Amino acid sequence: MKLLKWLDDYFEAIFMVILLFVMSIFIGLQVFMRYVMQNSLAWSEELSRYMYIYMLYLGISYGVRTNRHLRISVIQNLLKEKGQKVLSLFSDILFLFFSVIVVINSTDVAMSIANFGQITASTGMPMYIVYMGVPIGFSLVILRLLQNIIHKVMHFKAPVEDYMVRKMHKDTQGAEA
Amino acid sequence: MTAIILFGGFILFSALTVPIGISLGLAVIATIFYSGIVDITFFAQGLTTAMDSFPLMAAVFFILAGDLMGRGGISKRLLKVADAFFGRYTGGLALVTVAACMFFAAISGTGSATVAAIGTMVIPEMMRKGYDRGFSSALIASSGSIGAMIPPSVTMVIYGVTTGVSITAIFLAGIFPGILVGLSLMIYSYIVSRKHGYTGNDKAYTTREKLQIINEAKWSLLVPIIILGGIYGGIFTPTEAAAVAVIYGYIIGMFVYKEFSIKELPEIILKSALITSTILVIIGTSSGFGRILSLERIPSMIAESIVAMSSSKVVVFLLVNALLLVVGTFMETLAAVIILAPILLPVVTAYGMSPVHFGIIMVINLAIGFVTPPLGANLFVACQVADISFEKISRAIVPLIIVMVAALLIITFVPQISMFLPNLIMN
Repeated sequence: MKLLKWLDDYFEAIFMVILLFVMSIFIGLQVFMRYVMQNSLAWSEELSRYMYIYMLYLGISYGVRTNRHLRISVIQNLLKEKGQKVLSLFSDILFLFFSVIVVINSTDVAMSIANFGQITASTGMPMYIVYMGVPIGFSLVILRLLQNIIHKVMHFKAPVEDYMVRKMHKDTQGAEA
Repeated sequence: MTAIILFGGFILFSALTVPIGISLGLAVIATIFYSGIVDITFFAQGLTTAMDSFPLMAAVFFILAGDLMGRGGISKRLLKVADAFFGRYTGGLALVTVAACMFFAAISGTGSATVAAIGTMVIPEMMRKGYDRGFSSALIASSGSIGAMIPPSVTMVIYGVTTGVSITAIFLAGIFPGILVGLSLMIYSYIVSRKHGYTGNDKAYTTREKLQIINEAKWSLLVPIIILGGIYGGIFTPTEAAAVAVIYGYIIGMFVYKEFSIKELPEIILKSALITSTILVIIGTSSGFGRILSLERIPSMIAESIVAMSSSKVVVFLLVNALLLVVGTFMETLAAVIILAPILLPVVTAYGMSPVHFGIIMVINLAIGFVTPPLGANLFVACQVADISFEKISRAIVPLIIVMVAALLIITFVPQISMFLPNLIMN
């Protein structure tokens, strides 16, 4: 149960941190190897690019978890509390609709690339792995949105701040991010 | 009709508080379902291919590098350096504020962090010196917007990725325009300070003391030299430079200035990764947008209608600037770049403006929009930092916006200010 709560707070975050940290080291290493060791790395740039794709799409999901997406709130601010809550629920449903379409179509794309057997240019790994970043990321987005929607329906009477975003189980560092 | 669904859908979904990037994605999907103008597979593939870009990686590294540097120590040291050089003149603190923001801009890739970092330290000091609260907070907000104008700049990276213009060229072109905007703010502050009798520090630093202060700040001052020098010297690409700055930031932050421990590192990294994801989501979800635009000939239609309105280059450039300023006030910066760059670029190039020069104009316009009431995001940050009402700062910012627009017009009509460095170094 404790683990589950921790994963609810940080699942995407763990991967995002590892991916970004390793990316920065890879590219730093690439510069170091080229200028100091006179030896250009072939794999570092390609691998980092693919890790970046995963980081970005996991980040979209974590942005849903932490309610950090950029929105235009002009209309929302004109509404009373109840209206704001309904609007927020409705916007989650639109986001959910988008995510479902994305998961279906991007899975198709990844499958057809898998069937085609394409591999990446310098590391030679299967190309479909790269394309799986989008369906994986947006599947998590769907999960996070469902969590939010359930939370909102169940806490419709809660104060707006508590309604809009699910509190972190552990109110420490990650909550600030 | 296609255009109405595309743009109308985007406006509708955004108004319904759907995240901006997702709104554009929904509008693209709606357009695809309605007209079948491109295949949905093209869109689905674009979600991956649009993000699969090495130049685009510069964005996350510059954001992370800025955050690593911005933790405590560096902004404090930059302020000290600025104080040693400008502090004793009339309006000293105001000049110091602008100068520190310009330094910080050459390290960080965004504007709003600058406002918070420098503002919190400067505002109390300015109050003590008897500066007007409205003027001080408005000055902080507008100086902070220089963060996006002086390279490295995330907005410039996105413009380069969207239009295919060399990021190195845009970074080069951005230096003098950014300095010009900063100088304009300094001149204005000086005039205001003379009028209101804001005096400088009594302390005049000796050369020895100045060198001492520079020495303390040397690790921070080295950052722009490494980043920009490395890029312009052809030693590394902008993305590599940004990654080097990140590693430099780890080392300086943890071992030299000891501003944070290795335990705090994951939290810092997570913050940058999350910010990057939420602003870059639109790069992926807007895939297909450019294709639909060009298939529908929307850019050329807009270009033709603008050309029909006036054949004068001056009028057209003024119109484009006005449009960008208005959009910059209402729309998130990256969304504005992604949507407007492909539409407006053909217009201005038809009048002989270089795509690099236009990138600078766009970046500055959108940065000014960032401090323009009623929605400028930097204003809200400055309000919190300076504890002032939004109405008051909105009134106080007006003259500063006029000053920045004046600088913008000079930059628009004297292309050499932007193009001098790229022409000199890249040819």
